Amino acid sequence: MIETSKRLLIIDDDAGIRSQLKWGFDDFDVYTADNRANAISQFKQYHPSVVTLDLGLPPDEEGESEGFAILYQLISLAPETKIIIVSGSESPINADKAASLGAFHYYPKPINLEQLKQIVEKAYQAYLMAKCKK
Amino acid sequence: MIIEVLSFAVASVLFCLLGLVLFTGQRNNLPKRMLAISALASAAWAGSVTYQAIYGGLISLTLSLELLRSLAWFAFLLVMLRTAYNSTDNVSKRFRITFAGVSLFIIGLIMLAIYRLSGGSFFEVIAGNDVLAGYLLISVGGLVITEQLYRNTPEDHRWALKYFWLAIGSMFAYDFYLYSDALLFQRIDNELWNARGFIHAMVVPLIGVAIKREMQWSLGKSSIDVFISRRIVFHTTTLLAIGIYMILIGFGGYYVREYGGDWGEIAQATFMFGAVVTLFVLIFSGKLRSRVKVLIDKHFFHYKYDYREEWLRIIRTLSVNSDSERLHERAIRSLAQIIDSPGGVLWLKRETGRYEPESWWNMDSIKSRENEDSSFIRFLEEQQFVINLDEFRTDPEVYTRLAILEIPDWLKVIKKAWLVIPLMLKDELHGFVVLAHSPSHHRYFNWEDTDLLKTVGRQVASHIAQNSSARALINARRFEEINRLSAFIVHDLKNMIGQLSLVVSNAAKHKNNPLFIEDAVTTVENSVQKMNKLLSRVKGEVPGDSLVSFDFCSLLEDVVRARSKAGILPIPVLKCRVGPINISADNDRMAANLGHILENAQDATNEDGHITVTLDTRDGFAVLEIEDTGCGMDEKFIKERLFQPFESTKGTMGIGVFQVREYVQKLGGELEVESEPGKGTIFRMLIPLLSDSNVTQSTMSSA
Repeated sequence: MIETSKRLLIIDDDAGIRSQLKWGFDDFDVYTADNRANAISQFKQYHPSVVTLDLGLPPDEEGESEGFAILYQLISLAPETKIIIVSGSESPINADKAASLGAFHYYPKPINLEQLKQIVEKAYQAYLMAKCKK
Repeated sequence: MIIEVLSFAVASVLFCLLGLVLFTGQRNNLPKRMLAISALASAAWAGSVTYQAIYGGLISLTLSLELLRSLAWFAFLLVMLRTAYNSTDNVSKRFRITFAGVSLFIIGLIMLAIYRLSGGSFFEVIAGNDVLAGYLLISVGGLVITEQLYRNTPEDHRWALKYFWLAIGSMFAYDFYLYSDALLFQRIDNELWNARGFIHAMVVPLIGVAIKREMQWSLGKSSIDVFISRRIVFHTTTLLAIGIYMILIGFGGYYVREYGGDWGEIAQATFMFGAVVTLFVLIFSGKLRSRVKVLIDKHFFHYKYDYREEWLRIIRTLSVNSDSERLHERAIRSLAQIIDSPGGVLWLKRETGRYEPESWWNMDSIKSRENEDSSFIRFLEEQQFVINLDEFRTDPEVYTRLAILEIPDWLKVIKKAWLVIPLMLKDELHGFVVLAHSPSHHRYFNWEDTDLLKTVGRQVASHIAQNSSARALINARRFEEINRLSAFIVHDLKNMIGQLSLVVSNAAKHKNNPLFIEDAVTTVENSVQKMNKLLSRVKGEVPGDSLVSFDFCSLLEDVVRARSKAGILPIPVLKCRVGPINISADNDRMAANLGHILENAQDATNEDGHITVTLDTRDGFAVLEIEDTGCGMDEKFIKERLFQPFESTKGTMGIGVFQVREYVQKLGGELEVESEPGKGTIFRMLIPLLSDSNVTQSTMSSA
C-alpha cells in the first residue's frame, strides 16, 4: 500500500512555500506541517521517507531551536528517515550541528526548486538503499 | 644667682614660645589674643628678672612688668569669665566682672605709685608691707577669678579647660604663697623666689594641654582656635634641633679639651669646626628640609582639607545630572575645584593606545596626542604621581630620581599648565588631566594636595569608565537590535525569493492547471503580505508581536485540545474555575508558550500520571496552574538551570522555560515553579487581568 509510494513531509511555517513545494513535488505524496506538534503527528501517521525541515519555526522563528528540536525527535522516532534541513542560516555551526544530529543534507535558502528536487531525489534513493540492505 | 637666672630664663623662653604660637593662628578672637598677650607679658617679665639677676638694675621695669603681667592675666580671665557667663545667660554678673576688672586695674596702678615713692633695691621695695599686701591681693584676686571661672565652665568643657584653670590657678597660688611668706617673715625667701621661674615655666605645658584638648573652645561665641603655622613649627623645630646639636657640640668640645692632653685645644678647634660644617651641611640640605617638613606636616597638624566637605562636593559635581555640562567637563572641574584651579584639559586613552584630548574646561583647545609608550605616560602609569610642572622646572630631580621623565614639548608650550594628574583605573592609566595655575594654592602645594588629587583622579577615572561602558552597553543593545532586524529581513527575503521562484518553476509544468493558478495567486498574496510586514518592521512600526485581548479560558481549551491530539500520554485535564476572563497578549505566542509547558509536563510524567490545568483569578491576576505528577526537579536545578536560556533536561534546544518566563514578565505577569523530586511539579503563571480595569473604566466614563 503506502509502503511503495514516495512520501515527503514538508515542515515550513511559510504557507506559500508549503503550497508551492507541494506543486513542485507532484511526483511525491506530499504532507505538510507548520509547527512541531503538527509535524510529529503527521510524521507518526504517514511515515514519510524524506522530510524537508525549516529550522526557523514558531515560537522561535528567527532562531533554530525549534527546528533542531523537531530534527532530534524525528530521528529518534525513525532513524531511517532522510531529513533535509532547509535553513535561512548559512552558519557552518548550524550545518555541523544538523549533520551531527543525523540530518541527510543541509540546504541553505533561498529555495531553488531544481536543486532541492535533486537533493530530495537523492535522499529518497538513499532511503530505498538502506531499506534494501535491511 | 645661677639658679635664679636659669629658672627665669626657662620661664621666659617657654612663655615666649607660647605667645608666638598663639599669635600665629588664623582666627584671632579676643580670648586667644588675650592669652597670647598674657604669655608674652609673662615672658617679658621673666626675661627682665633674668636680666636683672645677671646685670642688676632695671628694678622699676621688672616691677611694672610683673604688675602688667598680672593685669594681662586678669584681663584674660575676665574675658573668659564674660564668655562663660554669656553662655549661661547670666547677664547681671557681667557688670560685676567689669567692676572687678576696673578695681583690680586701679590696685595695680596704686602699686606702681607706691613703688615710685620708695627707692633702693628690688628686695627692699618688695619688702614694704603695703606693697606686699598689694601683691598678695592680686594673687588672691587671681585665685578667686580662676575659681569663679572654673565653676562657671559648662560641664562638658571642664575636661579640656581644667588644665587651664589649674595652670593659672597654680601660678597665682604660688605667688600667694610667696608673698604671704614674705609678709609673714618680712623678707622674700630666696629659695621660693628662685623656684618661681621654674614654677611658672611648668605652667606653660599645662596651658598647652588645654589648648590641645579643645582647639575650639566654645565658651559662648568666642573661642580659641589655635592654628599653628606649619612654617613656624618647622623653623622652631629646626632651631630646637640646632640648639640640641650645639649643646652636644659644647659637651663634645668640653670633653675634648679636658681629656685631650696636649692636643686639647687643637682637637677642640678641629672638632668644633667639623661639627659646625656638618650643621651647615644639614641645614642647607634641601632634601632633609623637605623631609622634615613633610614629617611635621603629616604628624603634627590637622589636615589642610575638610575631607568630608571635599568628598561631598566631588561626588556632587560628578553625579549632578546636567545637560549643559558633559561628564568629562565635570570630571575636570571636580579635580580643579580642590585646588582652585581655573581650568583644565582631560586626555583619555583610545583603543589605539594613544591618549587624546577629550574635553576642555576654561582652557584653549589643545589637540596634542601622546603615545602610550612615551616616558611621560609611563611615568604617570607606573609612579601614579601627580606631576607639578613648576616643581619639575626648578627641581626635576624629585621626579627623575624615581623614573625617566620627559615632559612632552606640547605640554611645555602651555604656559598655564601647572599640574598633571593621572586618572588610574586599577593599574592602568585611563587618562590624565592637566590643570591650570591656581592663584592661591601656588605656594602651599604639598603632599596632602597630591594625595587628594590622586585619589580623586581614581574616582574620576572609574566614573568616566563606568559612564563609557554604560554607553557601550546601550550601543551594543542597539547593534543587537539592528542585527536581529537584518536577520529577520534576510530570513523573510529568502522565503519570498524561495516561494516566488518556486511559483515560476512550477508554472512551467502546471500553468494550465486552474488549481495551480489559484495557489500561485495565494502564494503571491502571501509574499505581498510578507513584504508589507517587512516594510512596517523596517520602519519600526511594529516591534515584535501584537497585543490583543482574548478569553484566557477558551485559549487554554484550544491548547489542551491540541496537546491531547499529539498522542502523548497523559492527556492534560483542564479545570476553568472562572467564567470568561480577558487577558492581553499575543494569542499564538501565548498558545505556543502554554503548549511548551504542557509538553514539558507530559515528558516528565509517566503515562499513568496526571496533568491538571487549573485557571483561577486572584487580586487582578489570572492564575494558571499546570500541575503534574511527574519526576519533579530538585531545588538546585530550579535555581541554577531551569530558568537559563538554552537549558533543557531533554538535551535538545527547545525554547526553554526561560523564554516562557521572559514573555510572561513582558506581559506584566510572573512565572513561578514549585517542585519536589519524585512527586511532581507545579508551574504557576500569573497574567494581569483586563476585565477589571475595563469595567472600572467603562463605569467611570458612563458616570
